[in-house]
Amino acid sequence: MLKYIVKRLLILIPIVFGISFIVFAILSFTPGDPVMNILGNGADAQAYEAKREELGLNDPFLTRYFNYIKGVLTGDLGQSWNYNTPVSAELARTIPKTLMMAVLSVGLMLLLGLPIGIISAVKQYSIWDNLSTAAMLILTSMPLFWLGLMLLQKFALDLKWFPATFPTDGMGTWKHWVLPAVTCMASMMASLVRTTRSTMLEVIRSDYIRTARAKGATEKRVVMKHALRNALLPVVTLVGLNFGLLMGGALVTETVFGIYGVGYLLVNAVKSRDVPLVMGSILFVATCIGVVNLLVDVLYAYIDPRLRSQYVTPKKIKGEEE
Amino acid sequence: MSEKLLEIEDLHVRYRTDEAEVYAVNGLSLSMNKGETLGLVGETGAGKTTTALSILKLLPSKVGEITKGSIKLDGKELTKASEPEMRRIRGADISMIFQDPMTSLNPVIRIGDQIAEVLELHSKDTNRAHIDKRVDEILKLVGISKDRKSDFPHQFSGGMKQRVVIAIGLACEPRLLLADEPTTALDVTIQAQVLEMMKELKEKLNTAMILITHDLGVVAQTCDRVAIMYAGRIIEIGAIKDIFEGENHHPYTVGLFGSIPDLTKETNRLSPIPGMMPDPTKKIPGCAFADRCKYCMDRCREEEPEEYVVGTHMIRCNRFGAGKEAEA
Amino acid sequence: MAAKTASTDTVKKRSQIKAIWFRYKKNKLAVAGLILLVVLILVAICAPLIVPYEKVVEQNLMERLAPMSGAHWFGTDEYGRDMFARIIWGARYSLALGVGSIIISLIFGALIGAVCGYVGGKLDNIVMRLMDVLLAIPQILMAICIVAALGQGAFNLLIAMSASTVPKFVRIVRSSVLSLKQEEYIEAARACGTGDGRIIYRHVLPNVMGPIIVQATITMAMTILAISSLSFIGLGVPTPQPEWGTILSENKSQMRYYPYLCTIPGIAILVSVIAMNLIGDGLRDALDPKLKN
Repeated sequence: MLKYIVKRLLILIPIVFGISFIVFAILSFTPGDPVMNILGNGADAQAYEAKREELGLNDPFLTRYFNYIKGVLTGDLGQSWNYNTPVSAELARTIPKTLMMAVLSVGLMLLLGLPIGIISAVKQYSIWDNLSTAAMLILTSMPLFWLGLMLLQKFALDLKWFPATFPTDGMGTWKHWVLPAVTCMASMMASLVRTTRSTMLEVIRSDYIRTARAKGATEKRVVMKHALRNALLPVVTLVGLNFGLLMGGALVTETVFGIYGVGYLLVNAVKSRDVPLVMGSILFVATCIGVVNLLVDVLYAYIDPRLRSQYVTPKKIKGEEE
Repeated sequence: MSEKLLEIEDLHVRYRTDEAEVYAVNGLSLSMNKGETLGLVGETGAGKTTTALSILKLLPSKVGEITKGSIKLDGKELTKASEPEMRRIRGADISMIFQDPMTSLNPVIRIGDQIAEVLELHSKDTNRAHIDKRVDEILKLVGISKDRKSDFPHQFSGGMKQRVVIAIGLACEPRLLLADEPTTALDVTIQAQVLEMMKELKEKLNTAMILITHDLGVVAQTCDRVAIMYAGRIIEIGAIKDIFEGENHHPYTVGLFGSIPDLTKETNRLSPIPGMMPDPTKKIPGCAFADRCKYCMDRCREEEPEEYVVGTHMIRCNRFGAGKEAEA
Repeated sequence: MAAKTASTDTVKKRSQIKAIWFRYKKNKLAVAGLILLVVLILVAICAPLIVPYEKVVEQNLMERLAPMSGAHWFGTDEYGRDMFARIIWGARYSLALGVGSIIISLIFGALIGAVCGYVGGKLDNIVMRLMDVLLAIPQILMAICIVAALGQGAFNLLIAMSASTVPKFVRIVRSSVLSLKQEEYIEAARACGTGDGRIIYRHVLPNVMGPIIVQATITMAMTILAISSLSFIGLGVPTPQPEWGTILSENKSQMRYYPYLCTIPGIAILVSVIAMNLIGDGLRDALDPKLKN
């Protein structure tokens, strides 16, 4: 198992570097002059040249990329072009909020989504099931920012239950997080409910569930003890996938509620062509996604004994590669 | 003659799907004595599994439904039993072994726990140590080392899995065991082993068994009586020697035997039964076999043939008994 | 003999499509989705016949924030532009971008995926590693980077969305082709001496198409959402072009007192995405009856 984890971490390295290279290339060959962006149009030629030299823009592309990577490997993510602050400081400022948002919305999604999905499957075609299917369809089909705006309008501006703006510094109170978390998890929860329902339905029809019933087990026992754990695998994937995505910041939710998280940071950096900041955020996101995927696979092995034995036998790991 | 254990009277089962209604069992009657082994033989789709599931009341919910008839276990009416009552019966009084051992064990639960579960559900003694001891005994009974009880199903071969399934089925020493093609999915050599073991165990525990199969060889080896099913009805039933050595048979039974190679006779080819089973979505007024029968008469299509009974042997065909006299 | 098999083949094919349609037709919601989408597409195509484009951009400060009325069915925005005209023309932008980017990415994705899956070897290995890298970044981030590089605009958004969707389709097509290659009927066809081209055309393609079409419809729904989100955060279609997400973004400051200015474009997005999701679900059930229930 340990060997497998190490191996997966090693695979992660080229992927992260690949991403950094692709993004660096895209940003470097972008038309337009970043120095002009920073200094404004009226800058004199000397200051312009000095700035270009300072940012290393006069070096060839590959040299610039290697310089950047050298920095990253020594723990230096560079300076933001726009704010003149270290990228790592900007990330440190935004990551807690993004993490908070991810934890809250994934937690909320599990808390609501799992029971709804299970009940829908167990009571298939009941009014409850039809209602939840319809609600989930609407939630998946709804633009998140629209949902966020409506919630903001109703619960913050009309009813004044929650604050409408997020403090620029600090984490705010729990009240600040309710609406963003609900908005953020809406469509994820819908897909969780759908996945849970369909895998539960599939599992409930399987032979071993019939065996459990033939043993005289109660319906509750059949669902909770026999079906749920088998149905959990795709759910774990989905949760991991969403958590990883959220580490990239819920771009839209953060924009709607004005939360200065990684997503917000990234969008602003992209808009202002702040290459080091974009690179730093993307590296962070890619690493997070890779690590979360690894965690999902480890969890998989924990849930499914069939996979566990695969990791133990080295032969099968090789066979698994393709 | 010993006491009746199971009596099924005029059982009708219907499946209702989006597309059509399927009449799976149509007026099946059957009775069994304690400790007896009955072979239930017929083609795929004859309604054998449906009959077994009806006895346990495990027909797929909302789709399958017992529309008519009665099933009595030891005189107790099962069709009217409540769900909690049925749960007490399942696994304890009646248990079932399913066709495919590969899929009938829960992949994420250790096999020891799967066997223990049925004990926990039914025995009054919930002491963990006692249950554990009992699990060891049962494993020994089916020939699995007790060291393997913390293994998961995927670590077992097909034959071993079926042993586990049998262990689950017999753990509470049920009065009736429904074995739905327990050996079909296994290799021929393993088949023989498993069958032999089942036979021994059922004798040891004095369990009655309904053995569902389409393999007449298996029936000849293990059963006391044989019932032949066709299109949801029993068309012939009798003691093993009535069926295998008797003179008169339902034309379908003759066809069934004709589809098996016989080494003692020199023939060039097998004689399969022409045609197909009738469409199960249609109700048939007369004999279901009429369309494929070379002896078919007009009255065969109009009403269901009378039972023709000689001793332990029953045939439902107009060629015999009252039907024959009417023809003459 | 050959003629006979050919004719039974076409009969079988036709009856298969018929059977799929028969199953699809039974799902009333899926049919409703199809009708909705057809109506939306008609609206998008016929937009010039319904309202002229001038109305979309024409500012009339005398009539800013006018309520819904006979003259302005959906009212006007803060520049006095007619909301009805903007929504109708918005269908063009949103749908064309969604459908267009899916078609482009489907063509490239299917091509690359099928070749990789069928040829295998070194080429497959290199391409798939590249796809792994691309798939490791969330699609929307990839799209944002590309938009940043190309600049804001409807056409650039189309390219960004297509390019960022390609890896997904490559993967789906490749894995279906790979698993299909193992299927016994493909082996049987090969054993009968059928050529590669014919195997791909006759056996592989028809069997891969099902899941891909389903994926494409569902991805299209997601793409339309992503496009409107990008427009909303200011990285998509720039104002005054009437993409639905753009319209929402323009009007969000009016939400407090003129909520319908945000509700209407939101509903437009919601309805078209629901239609596509319904079609996707219906197709999935119709193509694979086993999955249903």
